[in-house]
Amino acid sequence: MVKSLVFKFLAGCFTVFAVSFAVFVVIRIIGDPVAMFLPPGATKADIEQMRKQLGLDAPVLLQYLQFLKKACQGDFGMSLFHNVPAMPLLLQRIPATFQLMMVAVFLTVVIGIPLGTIAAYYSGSIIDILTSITATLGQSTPNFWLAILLIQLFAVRLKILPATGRLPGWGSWKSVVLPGVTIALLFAPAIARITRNTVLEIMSQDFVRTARAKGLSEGAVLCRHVLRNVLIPVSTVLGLQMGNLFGGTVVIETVFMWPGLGLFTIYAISNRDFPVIQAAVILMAVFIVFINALLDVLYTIFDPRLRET
Amino acid sequence: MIIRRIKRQFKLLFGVVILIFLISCSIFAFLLTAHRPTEQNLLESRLPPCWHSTGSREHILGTDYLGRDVWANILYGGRFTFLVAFSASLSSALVGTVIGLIAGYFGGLIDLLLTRIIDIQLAIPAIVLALTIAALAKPGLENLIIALAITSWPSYARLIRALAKSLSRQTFVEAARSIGANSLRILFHHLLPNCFYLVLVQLTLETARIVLTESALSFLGLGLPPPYPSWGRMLAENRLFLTVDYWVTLFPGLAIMLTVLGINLLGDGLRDFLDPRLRRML
Repeated sequence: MVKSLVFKFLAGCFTVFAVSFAVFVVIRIIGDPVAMFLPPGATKADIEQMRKQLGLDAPVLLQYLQFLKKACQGDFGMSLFHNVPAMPLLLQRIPATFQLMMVAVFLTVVIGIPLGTIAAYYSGSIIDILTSITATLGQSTPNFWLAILLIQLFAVRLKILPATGRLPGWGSWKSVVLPGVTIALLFAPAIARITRNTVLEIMSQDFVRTARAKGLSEGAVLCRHVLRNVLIPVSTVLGLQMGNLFGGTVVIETVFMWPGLGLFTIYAISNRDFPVIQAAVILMAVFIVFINALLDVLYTIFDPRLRET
Repeated sequence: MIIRRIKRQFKLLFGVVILIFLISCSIFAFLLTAHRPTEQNLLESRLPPCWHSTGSREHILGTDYLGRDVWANILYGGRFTFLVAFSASLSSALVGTVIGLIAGYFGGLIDLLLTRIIDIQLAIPAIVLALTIAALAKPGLENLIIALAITSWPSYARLIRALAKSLSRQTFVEAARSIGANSLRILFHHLLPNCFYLVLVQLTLETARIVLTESALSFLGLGLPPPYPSWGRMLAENRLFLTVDYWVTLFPGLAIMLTVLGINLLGDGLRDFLDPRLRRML
């Protein structure tokens, strides 16, 4: 088991390195950072000088190796826009994003899993049909639009929650509600659908019949035998959705002006601030890879059978 | 059982009806409105929809802050939504399927390389990738389509790779090889037809996702540049009035939602209709 964990860790590190290389090369192939920083009338000599100054005249591979060497020491380059190191700028934004994602994932799980279980238990009933309809609708709703509608309802009409921004201190919990709910409303239906299908599949299996036959109460069957087996497929889906969740946060943070990683990345992208874009993508990749590795470890806790291999 | 079958077909039917309705609306946009999407009229700006007492019959769904007709923008915007989504998903399906087939059939180094590339893309949020490419490349129709297609091809490659891998071990492939069929013939004559359903279903589901990504890109100002009409950009451009003039947000958003819903229903229905076993794979 330790061996497989080490292997997973190394594979994850490889992915992060590969991501950094891919982003580095892609940015330099498609975009010309120099063109963004000089006024339209700049002369050829100006462009050349700027290119030298930014170290863009060397071959891409050499540039990457230099970048990698510095990055390993924690230096991801200077933000072209803010003129300060890129990584600390991003790291400052993490607490806000972390808070938002925790609330979103918590709400998603708390809404999605019970809803899916109920839908499976009473499959074919009104609850089941309603869950399936909301799941389809949830998958079809543009997240930024839902965000705007929720702002209109709760912040403008009812005036019970702040519309945008993040209040300092404890107030931040009040401002996280709307963006968190928006993300959860879009992901919970998908989780409910997966939970429903898995619960249905598991409930038809022999060990559930055995558990019932030996006189366990329905509650005990559900908690001890069914839900434990539901956790693995559901957390696999959650892990696979991590990228989408991050993408969702980027958009939602922009609508709510939530001062997190996503909003900052959007600013960096629209300013063509390529050191920050690079650092942000690498940071996101680290998170996504790390969360998936963590889930792999959790599987072995949920399911003792996996410890053998 | 019978009720369920009807319910499944109902999904397919419903999806097709929604899509035909939306596509014909955008094709025949010039018959359904007298306005051009770009036409501005500051004297008639921020008019509410016609059922309000202050609304005008001229502008069924009202106008935005520059006096542009919301209904006309929705109709004409649909053209570009469908054009971008269909081109992006068709091209990514083509590329992804071919790469998946090759990797699954030949295995070895090509396969290893492919799975690594897919891993890399899975670690970058699709929208961030699309945004970065769209921001760095010159804004325009082709580059938007390319940016969206790049985020989409790995999903086909992954599916088809797995299927091609298991198919290439089966006897009919061996039989084909033993009568002297070359790799090219096996790939496109024997394996591809067997992957067709999977690609078709994935194509519809991916198209729905692409419509959503495209609208988010436009909303963030990195989609189709003006003067192309765009649903996502309508929401963004009217940002200052979003909280006051509900019609500039509600209707374009509904248009996006209805489009994605139609495509999703079509995809779900198609999956159940073609092969219920696919439910587990997709």
